[in-house]
Amino acid sequence: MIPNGRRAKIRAPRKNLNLEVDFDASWALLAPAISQIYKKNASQLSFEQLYRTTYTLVLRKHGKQLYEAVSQEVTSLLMFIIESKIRPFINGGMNSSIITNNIEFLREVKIQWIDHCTCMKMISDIMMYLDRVYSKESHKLPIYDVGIEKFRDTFIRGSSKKLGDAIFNTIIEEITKDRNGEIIDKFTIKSLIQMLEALPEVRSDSDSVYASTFEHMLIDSAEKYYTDAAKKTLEDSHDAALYIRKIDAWLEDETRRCKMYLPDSTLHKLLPVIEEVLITRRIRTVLEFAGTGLKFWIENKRVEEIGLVYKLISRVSLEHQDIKELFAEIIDKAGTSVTEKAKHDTEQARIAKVEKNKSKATIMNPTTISINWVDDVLKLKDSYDAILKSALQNDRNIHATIDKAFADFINRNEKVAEYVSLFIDENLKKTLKGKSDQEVEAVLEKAIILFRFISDKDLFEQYYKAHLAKRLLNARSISEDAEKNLIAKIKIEVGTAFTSKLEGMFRDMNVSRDAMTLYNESQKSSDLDDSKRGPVDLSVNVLTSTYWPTTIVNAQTKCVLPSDVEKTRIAFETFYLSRHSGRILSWNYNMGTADVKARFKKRVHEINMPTLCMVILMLFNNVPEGEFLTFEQIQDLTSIPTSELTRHLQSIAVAHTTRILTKEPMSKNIKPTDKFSFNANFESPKLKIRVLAVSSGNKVENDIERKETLQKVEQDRKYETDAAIVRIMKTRKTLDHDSLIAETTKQLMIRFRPTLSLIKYRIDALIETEYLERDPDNRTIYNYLA
Amino acid sequence: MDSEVVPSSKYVTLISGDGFEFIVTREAAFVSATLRGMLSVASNFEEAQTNRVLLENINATCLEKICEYMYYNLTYKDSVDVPDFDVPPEMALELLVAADYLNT
Repeated sequence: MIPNGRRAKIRAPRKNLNLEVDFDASWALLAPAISQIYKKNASQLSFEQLYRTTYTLVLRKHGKQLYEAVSQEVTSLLMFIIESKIRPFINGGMNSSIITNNIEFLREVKIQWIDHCTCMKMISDIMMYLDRVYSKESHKLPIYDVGIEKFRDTFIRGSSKKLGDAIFNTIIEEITKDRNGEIIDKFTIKSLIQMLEALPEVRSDSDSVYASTFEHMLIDSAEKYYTDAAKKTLEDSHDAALYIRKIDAWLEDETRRCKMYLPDSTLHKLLPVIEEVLITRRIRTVLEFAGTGLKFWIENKRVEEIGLVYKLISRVSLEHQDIKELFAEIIDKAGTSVTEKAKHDTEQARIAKVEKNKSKATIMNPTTISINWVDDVLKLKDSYDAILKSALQNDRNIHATIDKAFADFINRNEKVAEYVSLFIDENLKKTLKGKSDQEVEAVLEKAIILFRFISDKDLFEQYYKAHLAKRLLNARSISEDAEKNLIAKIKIEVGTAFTSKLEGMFRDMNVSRDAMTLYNESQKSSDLDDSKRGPVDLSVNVLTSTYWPTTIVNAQTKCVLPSDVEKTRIAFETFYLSRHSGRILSWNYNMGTADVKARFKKRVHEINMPTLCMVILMLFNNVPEGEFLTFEQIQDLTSIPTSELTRHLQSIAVAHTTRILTKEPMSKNIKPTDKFSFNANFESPKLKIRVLAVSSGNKVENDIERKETLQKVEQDRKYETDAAIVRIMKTRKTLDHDSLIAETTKQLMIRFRPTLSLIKYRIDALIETEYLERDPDNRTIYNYLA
Repeated sequence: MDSEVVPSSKYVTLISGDGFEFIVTREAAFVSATLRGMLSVASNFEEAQTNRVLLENINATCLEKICEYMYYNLTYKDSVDVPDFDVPPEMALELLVAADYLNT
C-alpha cells in the first residue's frame, strides 16, 4: 500500500499483445529472411522486425510450430547447398564417394561449414526469444545446436552416408599425403577436424562425430600406413640404424602433425598405436639383425644408436625387456668367448709344454692367461659402463641386468676367484710400481668391481690369503697402503667377518716388526749372557696360525740347523717366550731366506737364498776341496724331507745362474745317488745374487692343488652353514623348513652361493648332533635345543 | 562484453515506438542481449550497419527508464552494496514486458 492512501495506477502495456497472430503470415516473413541470411544478404533485413515477429509468435504459443519450421527450413537450405556446391566435386552421382579434386572439395566443405555456423549464429540471435522461452521450457536444444545437428544429418550422416564417407576418406587421404611428405592445406584439414569435433554424435551427450567415428578411422589408417612403411623399410634394407632413425623421425613427425591439426587427445591415442606397430612389434627383430643390430653397436661403441633405441623403447615400456634380454645375451657371448680364450690359451700352453715346443712366444704362462682374462673382462665391463652412462642414462634397470649378466658369465668360469686374486697379486707386486695414487686407486676399484661379481667369495678369500701371505712374507708388496686400502674396500663390500683374518695377517707383520726391534735391542744390551746371545742376525715374522693360510702354517719342515743358526733360534725363542708365556713357536724354515757371504775363486758374493739352501750349503764348509757329499749324506746331516731337499738342491746345483754346487753326474734331475761338491769356480757378473726356490711365485694352481683348495673350501662351507643355521635357530627357537632355508641362504650369500642340498644336509647333521629337533606335531618345523 | 564485436561507433541510437531518439553508448546498449544481437557487427543486419534501432513496441517513457537502467547496470556491474533502482509502480508492468523483450 502506498502511505498516503492514493492508489497507484499501473499502466497496462500496449494491447497489441492481445491481437491474434497468424502463424503463416509471420512465417512468410521469417522464411525468406532465413534464405536471405544464407545468401549473405542480412544487411537488408531488420533484426528488430524479425525478432519482434518471433517474439510475438512465441508469446502466442506458436513456439513449437516455429521451432519445427526453422529446423525444416535449415535442413532444406543445407540440402540445396549440397546439391549446388558440393555435388560438382563428386563423380558418379550422390551415391559415389569418388572425389575429383580432394583439396578443393575439402575447402568447399570447410567454407560451407563456416558459413553455416555464421548463419546459424544470426538465426539464433533472431530466435533468441524462442530459445529463451520455448526451447528451454520444453527441454529442446537451442536453435543454434539444432542447426549444427542438421549440418551433421545432411553432410555427414546423409541418407546414403556417402558424402560423410567421402569427407572422412578425403581427409585421411590428405593426411596420408602429408605423411608421404607432400604439401597439403593443413589449415583446411585443421578446420575440418575442428568441424568434426564440433558436430555431436546422434543420441550422445558428449561424443562428437570426430571421437565416435573419425578418430578410429584416423588411427586405423595410421596403423596401416606405418605397418606398411615399416615392412617396406625392413624389406629394402637390413640396416637397424636406418630403421630406428626412420621411426624416430616418423614419431617426431606424427607428434608435430598432431600438434598442428589434430586434437591433443588424439595424439595420446595415436602414438601408442604407432609405437606398437613400429617399436613393440619389430624392435626385437631389428636389434637382432646380424651386422647392424645392437651387438654391432655395442661392439663399435655406437652410442648414438644405442641411445636412440633406448629412447624409443622408453616410449613403449620402461622395463626395456628387449634391450635387457639382448644385453644379457650379448654380454654372455662376449664373456664366454673371453673365458674360452683363456681356456684355449691354457690348453695351448699345456700342449706346448708336453711337446716342448720351442717357439716360446706363443706360449703364455698361466699367470699371464689369468691376468689377460681379468683385463679382458674389465675392458668389457668398462665398455658397458661407458655405454650405460652415455647412451642409457644410467638406467638402473638395465644396469642391474648388465651386472647380472656379468656375474653370470664370470662365475661360470670356475677359476674366477683365483684369477681375480692373481690379478690383484700381480698388480700389487709389479704392475703398480711407480704409479700415482690415482692409478693405484683405479686398479683397486676395478679389482673390487670384479670381487663384487664373484659369488664364491670364500673361495676367493682362500686364494687371496695365500697370495697375500706370500707377498707379506717375501716382502714383495710394493705398497702397504695399497694393500690396506684394498682390504678396507673389501670390508665395505662384505663386512668385517670376511676381512678379520686378512687384517690379522697385517697385524702379525706389525707386531713381528716391533718384536724384532725389541729383540735386537735385548741382544745388544750388555747384561745378556754370552751363551744366550745369537751369533747371527735374525728377522722373524711371528704368525698367528689361525689367520694365515694352512698351506703356509702346515708347511713346517724339520731340519738340523747349523750350530750358529741354532743358537740364534734358541736366543729368539727364549726372548719371545719370556714375553709371551704359554705360546708355542714352530718354525717354518722353508718360508724364510738367508743372506750368505761365500768366497769363490774369483770373488766374494753375497747370496740371498732360501733358508734350507743355506742349511745345505753350510755343510760344505766342513767338506775339504775336491771331496763331495752324496744326496743321502746330505739328508742324513740335515734331515730335510726328500721332496724339499730335491727342490732346494735343484736351486743351487741345477739352476743355470746359481750353480753354487756341482753335481755328479751333470743332469737335470736329482737322484738319491747323486754326488755334490762345492763349485769354487762359480762366477757371476753381479756381486749380489739371489737364489730362487724352484716353483715359487704366484703361479696358477695345478689341478691337484685346485682340488685340495676346493676340498678345504667345501669343508669350511659346512662349518659356516652349521654356524649360520645355529645362529638363526638360537634367535628364533622354532622355524619352519622353508624360512630356515631362506634365512640361511640369505646369511651365506655374502660368502658363497649355498646349494639347497648342502643346507638340508647340514640341517640333518645338526638334528643328529641334537642341536635341532623336528617338531613332533609338525614335521616341517624345527625346534632349537639349547 | 563480446570480444568479437568491434564497435564501429561509440554510440548507438535507440528509437522509441513513438519516435523519440535516445543516444546511448554501445556498451550500455549491450546490457540487453537482444540489442547486442541486433548490433553485433558479425551478424551484419540492417541495425548493425546504421547503428539505429527502432523499438516499435516500446514507448519513450519506458525507453528512457530502460536507458537509465542500462547505465545503472553498467555502473554497478561488479560492485556490492548496490543502491536500489527506483521503478515507478505505474511503469512496472510495462517495464517487465520490455525487459523480457530486450532480454536484459
